Amino acid sequence: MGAGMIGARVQRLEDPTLLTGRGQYTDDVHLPGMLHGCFLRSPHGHAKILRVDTTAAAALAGVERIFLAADLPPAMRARRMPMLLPNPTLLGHLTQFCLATDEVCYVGEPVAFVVAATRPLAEDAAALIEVEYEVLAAISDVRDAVAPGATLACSADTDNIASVFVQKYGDIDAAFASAPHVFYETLWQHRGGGMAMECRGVAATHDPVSDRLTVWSSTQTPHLGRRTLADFLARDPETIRVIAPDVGGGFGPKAIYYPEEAVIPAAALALGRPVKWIEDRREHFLAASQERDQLWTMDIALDADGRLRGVRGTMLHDTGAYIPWGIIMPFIASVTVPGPYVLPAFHLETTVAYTNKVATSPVRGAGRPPAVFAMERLLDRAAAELGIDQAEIRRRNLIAADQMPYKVGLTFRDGKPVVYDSGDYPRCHEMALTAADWSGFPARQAAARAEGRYIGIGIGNYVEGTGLGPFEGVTVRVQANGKISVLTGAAPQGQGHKTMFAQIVAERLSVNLDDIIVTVGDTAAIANGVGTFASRITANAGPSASIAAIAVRSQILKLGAMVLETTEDQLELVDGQVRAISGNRRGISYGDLARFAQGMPGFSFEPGQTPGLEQTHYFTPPQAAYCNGTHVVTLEVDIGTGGVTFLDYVVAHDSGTLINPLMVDGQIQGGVAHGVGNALLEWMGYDANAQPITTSFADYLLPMATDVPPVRGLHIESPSPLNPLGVKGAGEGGTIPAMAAIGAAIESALSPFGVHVTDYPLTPPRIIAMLRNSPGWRALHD
Amino acid sequence: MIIRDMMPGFELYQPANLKDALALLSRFGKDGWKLAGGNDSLTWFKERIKRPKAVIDISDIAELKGIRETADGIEIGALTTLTEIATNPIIRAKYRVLADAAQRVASPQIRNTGTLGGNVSQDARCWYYRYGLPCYRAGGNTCFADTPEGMNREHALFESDRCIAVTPSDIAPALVVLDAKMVVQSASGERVIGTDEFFVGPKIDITHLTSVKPEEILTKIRIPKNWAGAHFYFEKVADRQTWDFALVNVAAALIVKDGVIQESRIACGAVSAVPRRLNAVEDIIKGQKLDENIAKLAGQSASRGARPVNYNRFKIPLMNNLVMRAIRDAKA
Repeated sequence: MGAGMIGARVQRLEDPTLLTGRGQYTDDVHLPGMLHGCFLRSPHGHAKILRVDTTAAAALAGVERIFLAADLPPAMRARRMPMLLPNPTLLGHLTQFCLATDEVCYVGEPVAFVVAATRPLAEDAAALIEVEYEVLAAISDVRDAVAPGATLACSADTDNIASVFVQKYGDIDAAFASAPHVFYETLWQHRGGGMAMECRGVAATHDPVSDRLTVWSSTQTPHLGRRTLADFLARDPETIRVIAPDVGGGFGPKAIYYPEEAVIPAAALALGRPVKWIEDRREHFLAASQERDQLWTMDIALDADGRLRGVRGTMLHDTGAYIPWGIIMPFIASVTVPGPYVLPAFHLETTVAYTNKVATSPVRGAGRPPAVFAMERLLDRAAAELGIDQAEIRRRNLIAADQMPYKVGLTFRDGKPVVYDSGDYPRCHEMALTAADWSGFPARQAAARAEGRYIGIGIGNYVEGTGLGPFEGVTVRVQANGKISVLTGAAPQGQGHKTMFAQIVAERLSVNLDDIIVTVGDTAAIANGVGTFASRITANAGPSASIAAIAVRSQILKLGAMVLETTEDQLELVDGQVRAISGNRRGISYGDLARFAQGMPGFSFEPGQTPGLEQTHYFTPPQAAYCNGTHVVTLEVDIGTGGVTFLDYVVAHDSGTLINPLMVDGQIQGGVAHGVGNALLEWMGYDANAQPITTSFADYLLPMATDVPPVRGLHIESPSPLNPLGVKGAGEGGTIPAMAAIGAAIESALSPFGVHVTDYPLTPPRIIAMLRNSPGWRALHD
Repeated sequence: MIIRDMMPGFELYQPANLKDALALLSRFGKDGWKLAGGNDSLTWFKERIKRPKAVIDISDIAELKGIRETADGIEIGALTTLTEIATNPIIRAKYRVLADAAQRVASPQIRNTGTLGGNVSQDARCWYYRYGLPCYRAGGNTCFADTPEGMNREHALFESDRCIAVTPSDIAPALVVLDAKMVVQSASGERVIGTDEFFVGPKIDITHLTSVKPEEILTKIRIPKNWAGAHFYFEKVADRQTWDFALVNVAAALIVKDGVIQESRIACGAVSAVPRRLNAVEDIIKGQKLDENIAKLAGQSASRGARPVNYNRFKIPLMNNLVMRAIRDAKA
């Protein structure tokens, strides 16, 4: 058994538990004597705190304690949250305090934490806290933030600039100076939040006997959380255990470290009682990070035949009131623009500015969707202006397979040059076009128009740097009962990590999937860990599992040879047993070998024997592994209502070797759902005072099952040379080019009315508004 | 800003019959709250914006449930679920516009628990009001939606008065075109009213969308048989294919003989505080040959008199288009 596990369409081991309601989430942590917390948050986009009076709230029966900033441990009140991803271009105040001291810079910034016997009581008490604010002018639109003499988003700064940086290569001036064709686009791109089904939540308990602080957090990064918490509480990290239990979705916003993750453990320590806080959905809209707006002004230069000469422009990114994940997201956006195309010259100046909104950090796609939208919109524009078919203009510019590895000329966020490691972009592109019957579309469109129906088609191509380091570790250990323990800090939020690890280890050790027990997302499981983001786990922890399992396999063979008194080359591993190939000896189970590997108290090991059957490996990739894909979308627009109906959604995708094609299919389908939401529905609104105005799922619209088309997924497997499994990340490719492809398809459908798509979401009212600009449409419908 | 997620306490009553329920309602008056499917009520409670002293759960009262054919048409108990209405063979056969409207409400889960009475009694879906802001509808003296920057995409085109919220019901326009009669009962008696008296705009009562008083219950709805088997049409436009409230919906009933429109009823939801019956459109098409031209002409006049606010201008062409389709595509 075990052979052929890598690459098999194995059903997810997690699903029976999760789908039958037996998952154990942070809110399922119930401890004797547990108290419940609720945050009081700023109702203003920008204000000074003049006075806080907790007298009435504290007097309420059942209230245990009300924490203001001054009541927190010294390190938590003295300094802002740590900048976990420093960069020399970063400017300004950067991060927030755990609880606001004298200034609040966004609606939802935590001011006080109330702990009471029950959550309803805590909410009652929070309503009784009196805070006197002096309301200050707030910045809502990032374009206002960079205007001369702009109001300051934070009074600690002298302007609103958080960072300015340039990404460039080639001779951009020459590329444009002599170009036969130059076109420009101004694009206003909006992304919302990650909107995991489970909001954030933290529970903490301190055991005075062992002096052990245990924290459960709905996070993507438990090890990062432990390090930060140890600094805040000035505690030995060995006394802190952070567990990410079952987590109901992450999608990026749960990767950063939040004030709540420090405040709840601090309260539990101060009160000597377990404390739990579970984020409400409205609170999630106010206080969990989002991705938000980017303004792109882009020029494209082409040769007469549509070949690219250069792309240049500027991008303005709204980071919100703080910049907890550094410039990572706008940085990734800036290096994603060239995509799968041979682009001789590139110059992009990015400005990141503060506003009075909740901070941004990556959401699935992490800045890449806007970059792909920019590049693909430029190509569609050029194709239209030059009278070249949209697929053909891309064909003329795609990087050929024999150009791999391909050096783009930029530096990625890992500090390494952007070098595409493997792939066949033209083949991927053609696969998607063929599946969608691109060449037959004009006839289909003409036939539909004759019936008064408006159908359109659009393409989105992307390349994504995945599998970022520095590392992710895995321990593989054979237990005395014959089970194989696989331990890692890599915390899943629904991706199926356990299944992936089990498949790899089952293949390497020739055991059944049921014999493998995977422990994830626990700082007690393994000393070091990074976290689950950037489509990195299979490419980092996957190789670690494989390498550790291969080492354990060697230990099994070596010890097996010793016990069975033969040589390793005479042995085979079958179904959890070591046995002689010849069959003339008794075999021994892994479990018995594991007992043997513990030795006997007081007796020395034989020469060459090592304790236990276990290995820990921390694989570290030399650079990002680049996956790629093509989306081709066919849809219909109802010109009377602005409604969009998908007719076909094809994704051709190359994420290297597939460990489990079923799970990759799921990632792509789920990623497309995110993309459909961004393209058609999701909009996080703020008014002129930076007051959020879409703070429930009634007005922030996520796609429902009925709004997401079934995706026809096609796989290419170009193994990455960067890791021993040949894998690349597959978590974000479903989302990245979706806005570009859907926007192009809507433009194609509405081409008789001259509609030009430069923004999203494209809701029915937005589509009607675009159509209203067309005299032809007004004659028909207005 | 206080995060509100947990219901505060209240007294819960679960009367087993209508008489007991009505007695409880007269006892508590304004402090009582009627709970049926709970889809609207529980959200208000969780958000801590409505805090009734007593909740009277009427969901177990058998006499308020079920669909019955009568000599004059049909009678539908107010607690009948939307799923039952959408799938009922009599309604599907004779009053299809009501089944189609019920089928387009929210999602299957909500239709399984949501009731006919609850759907037509639900409160305004203006998110400023829902958020607990002190607007006119909440007893305050301002409208947050009717400002230059207000979020008023979903708001009214017609007959607003201080408050610009709209009726959120998909069922309401279908009841209007079927000339439904609403039976409203209290401990002291019963009144039977038309939809034009049942649904009220801000000029009449700015804090309620219906004329049902705290001590009253909508017990049943009667559909007369004069529209049975007419040509019907229902369409709802929303941001998503499911779950959302209508941006605009339309219901139509047409009696067509030899290709000529004898009589019609056309109503739109989500364009004013009450379902808007389009009498002018009905007059235009009466006695006309049913064809594309008359549909188009009628559609163009559908939104006459509309007074859009900042972000809801798109509703004008939407409404015109829906009315045009309703006339053109109504089917027996």
